[in-house]
Amino acid sequence: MSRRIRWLGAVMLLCFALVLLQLANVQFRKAAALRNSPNNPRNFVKKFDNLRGDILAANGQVLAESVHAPKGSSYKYMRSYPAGPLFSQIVGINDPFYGAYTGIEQEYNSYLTAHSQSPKTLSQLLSPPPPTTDDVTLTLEPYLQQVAQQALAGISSANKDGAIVVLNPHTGAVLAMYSSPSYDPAPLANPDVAAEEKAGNAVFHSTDAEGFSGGLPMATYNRIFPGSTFKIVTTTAVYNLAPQLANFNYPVRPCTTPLPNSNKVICNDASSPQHAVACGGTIAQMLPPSCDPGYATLGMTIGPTDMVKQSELFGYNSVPPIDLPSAVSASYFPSVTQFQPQNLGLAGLAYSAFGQQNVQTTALQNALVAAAVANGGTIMTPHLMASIHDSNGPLVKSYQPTPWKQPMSAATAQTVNQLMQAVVTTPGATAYGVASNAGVSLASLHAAVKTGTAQTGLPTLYSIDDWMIGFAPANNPQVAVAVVVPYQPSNTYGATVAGPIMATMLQAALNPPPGQ
Amino acid sequence: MVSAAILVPAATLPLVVELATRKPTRQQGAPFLPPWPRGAKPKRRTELGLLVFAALITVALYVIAEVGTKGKIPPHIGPILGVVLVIVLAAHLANRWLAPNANAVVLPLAALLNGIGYVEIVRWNPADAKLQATWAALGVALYVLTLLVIRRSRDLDRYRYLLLLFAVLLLVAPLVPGIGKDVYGARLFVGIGNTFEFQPVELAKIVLCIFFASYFAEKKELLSIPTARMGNRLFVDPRPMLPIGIAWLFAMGVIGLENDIGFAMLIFTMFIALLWVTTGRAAYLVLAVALFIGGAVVASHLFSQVHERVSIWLDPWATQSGSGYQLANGWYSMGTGGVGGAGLGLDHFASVIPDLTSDMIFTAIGTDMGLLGTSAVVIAFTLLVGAGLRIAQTARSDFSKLTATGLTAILGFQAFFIMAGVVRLLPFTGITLPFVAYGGSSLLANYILIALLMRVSEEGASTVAERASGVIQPGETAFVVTN
Repeated sequence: MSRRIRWLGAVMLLCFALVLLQLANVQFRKAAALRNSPNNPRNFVKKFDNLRGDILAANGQVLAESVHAPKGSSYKYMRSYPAGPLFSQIVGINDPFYGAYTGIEQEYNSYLTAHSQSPKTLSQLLSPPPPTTDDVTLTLEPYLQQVAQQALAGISSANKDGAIVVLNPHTGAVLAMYSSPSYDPAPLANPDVAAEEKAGNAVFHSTDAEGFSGGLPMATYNRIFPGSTFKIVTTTAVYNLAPQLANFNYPVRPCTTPLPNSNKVICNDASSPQHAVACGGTIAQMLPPSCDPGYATLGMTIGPTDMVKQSELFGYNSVPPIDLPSAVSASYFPSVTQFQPQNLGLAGLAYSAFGQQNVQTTALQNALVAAAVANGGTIMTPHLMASIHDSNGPLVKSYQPTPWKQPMSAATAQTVNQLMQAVVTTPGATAYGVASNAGVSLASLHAAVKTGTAQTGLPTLYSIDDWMIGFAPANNPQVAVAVVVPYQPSNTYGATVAGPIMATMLQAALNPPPGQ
Repeated sequence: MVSAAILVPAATLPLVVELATRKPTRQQGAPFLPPWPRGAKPKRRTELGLLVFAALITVALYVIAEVGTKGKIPPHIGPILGVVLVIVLAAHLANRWLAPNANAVVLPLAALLNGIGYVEIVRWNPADAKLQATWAALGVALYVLTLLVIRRSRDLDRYRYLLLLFAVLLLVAPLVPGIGKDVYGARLFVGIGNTFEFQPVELAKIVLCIFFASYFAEKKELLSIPTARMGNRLFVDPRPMLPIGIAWLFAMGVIGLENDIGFAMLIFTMFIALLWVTTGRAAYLVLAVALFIGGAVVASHLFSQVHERVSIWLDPWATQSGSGYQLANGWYSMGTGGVGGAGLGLDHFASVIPDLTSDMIFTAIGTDMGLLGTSAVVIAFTLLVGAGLRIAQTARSDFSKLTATGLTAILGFQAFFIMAGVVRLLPFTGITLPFVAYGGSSLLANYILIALLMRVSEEGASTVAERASGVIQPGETAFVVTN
């Protein structure tokens, strides 16, 4: 028995020796590989644990900064977003679970993270300066952003989803861009990875009843039927590409004749001739009251080639080159082949000409359309970054405005500008008499606008996408604005829902509070 | 509904009553409480030194860990050292009184392992630390109580079938609706509400070991000497294997139902080790290996859990964001620890490992103290197993010899299974690292286990002394039979 107990001891000794050997394998031979493996959470997290630069609004307000993580946390630093949901969709997030995931945090990550400085003096050349971070200053004006947030929150119907874009038409600087729903970035700056993942799922992988997600800003991501705001593109096409049609004169009647290869007719602001108000005349007479049958016929007369060309000159079918890394969509206009008889046909073009059925645009693109008219025919590249400073002060880089598209001549821009003014000033025009909730009228702001009321065709009460795009003051435009409020009640108009918001935004943008 | 609180004492009651009223069997004139033994106790002097050393190491590691996590020296170092010393000295004094000549290293090794484990628990899971300290103190109290109540190992031999009944009740308790609890898919715990939870299999492993030892010691010859004739060949009569085979299969079956692969493996190994040490017949070993392989193949086909564990064992990296997360991150942590360790209190990321202070505590040691720390733990277990088997060698009867062997095998193989699981020598099974891991049931059971080892050791040491003086206890084999 004793001999076998010794044997048992030998077996157990062998077992422990094997454990020791394997330990040496793991903790000595493979230690470096395991320590440096990209899947080792220590390395995964390291790059998010550094001090990052700040993200600032135009007035210097801090939108994102690195703060010391609470004691006992795995991290030295965590990100703080003091401005909350107001800026989250643009600023983006940087957290251990998602990394530098969206927005400015991702776009300017290489500046925000610690990086080596280029030597500026001889002594720095000899002993390289320590790594530094840069601060990114944006073009966004916090007070405008706030006005936009409040304006959407003040929508009278139950659905308060919407997007507002305010641009400087001469530089492309985005002064305000807010979409509702937005999201609170605070839970995503949580140093607890599991909690972050949970919060992130709620933000990035869920939508509200209308299908909008806080993680995907409506202003740049969602494509919405532009409705009659698209008539600006159609009008421009006439003066720019088909000047022979400048005196196009549509007979005054409530509906079109039946569309080509179709028994359908397009009636003015109604589904049937009985309820439609007769309209017509020249382009200058048709734009202010937004005459749908007239524009439908006009679009077919211009033809697919020029309509496609003009819409693409405005930027349709390309992603606006704004300095955001994701969630920016190209607006959609069908191609020439799609207007051939076997596809949509000319009837399809009739609908496209006033922005229904097969045209979709983002609020950003529609703001750029307004900006093109405001800026004498040139669309400047939209941008959010104003300047980048080294955290120690010196300027690293400042944004130089560059043109993006040239959709029309200056003369055409002047003509369209006057037509858009008429939308406000002509009695009976769609935006005539529109004023903000505070009582400031578009007329008093010398605004030039275009309304849009797109029927989504959904069988629900909330079936109308309300739009208004425009700029002010018309003779010397300072700001261009797009307001979209999708899925509004079927008895609403662009003028009644988006109109007051437009007036509020123009009033705020043209009369900044002292000190801004 | 029978509650565990009633069930457990109900099973132990006859044993307790017997032990309390065993006056007729006691030596004439012996008092119930033994007198303080006189004379020099060299073993105890060694033990005292080692215990103080273990206590100092524990407190030093605690201070380092606190400085690492909080950046300042913890207050109350004095009182903490005091409490640790009081606990180990209580056990030491009990040894001086109840087992003066027993092995000198068993208790210090247990104290050291318990101390290292406690430091890791304070550092990673401070909320659990107070409870673990309470369990350690209770464990030492049970250690003393076991030495006091079980004064002669043959007392246990006499209650063989009562112990079997007790083991069966312990094993079945988690399956009783109302008191059994599912924890991580295994039905291992009994509990009433959330206040009291107990893992009966930890105690059952000891009781089963004593039963097996007792049965094997009695049936040693029948099991090992071929007496059955078939044709012109002699075979070992299979009939004596029947009752114990049934008991063993029952234990394995119940643990299997409770989905506890780790303990099923442990009881299997302990049984086979005891059977082989008793009989020396290689046929049993061959049979066991065949049974094990067959069982493993069947189990991996029948139970998805077993199949999954095998695939995680072979390649945790394939599923490192899913089921392989625990082991893969265990390796990243141990690799980060390297040879010298990341430093107690300085790594923050091992906390992502599930069950870090229970099943995966070996990883926590590897992270904080590196290869040096893990090797120290392995060596401590090797020494503990060595001491246990030495105790078995000097035991005065077959029963106590087999008991010590079985208990040592349990301690050693339990440590081996979980350590080998963490380093992927074996599939990972969720059993505790004795004395180190967090868990009250495990700690209490293992203190009882080493108390029994110390009892056998004391008897063996006395035998040597008595042999020298020519005194032989009636009914006991004075001289160790070696075969």
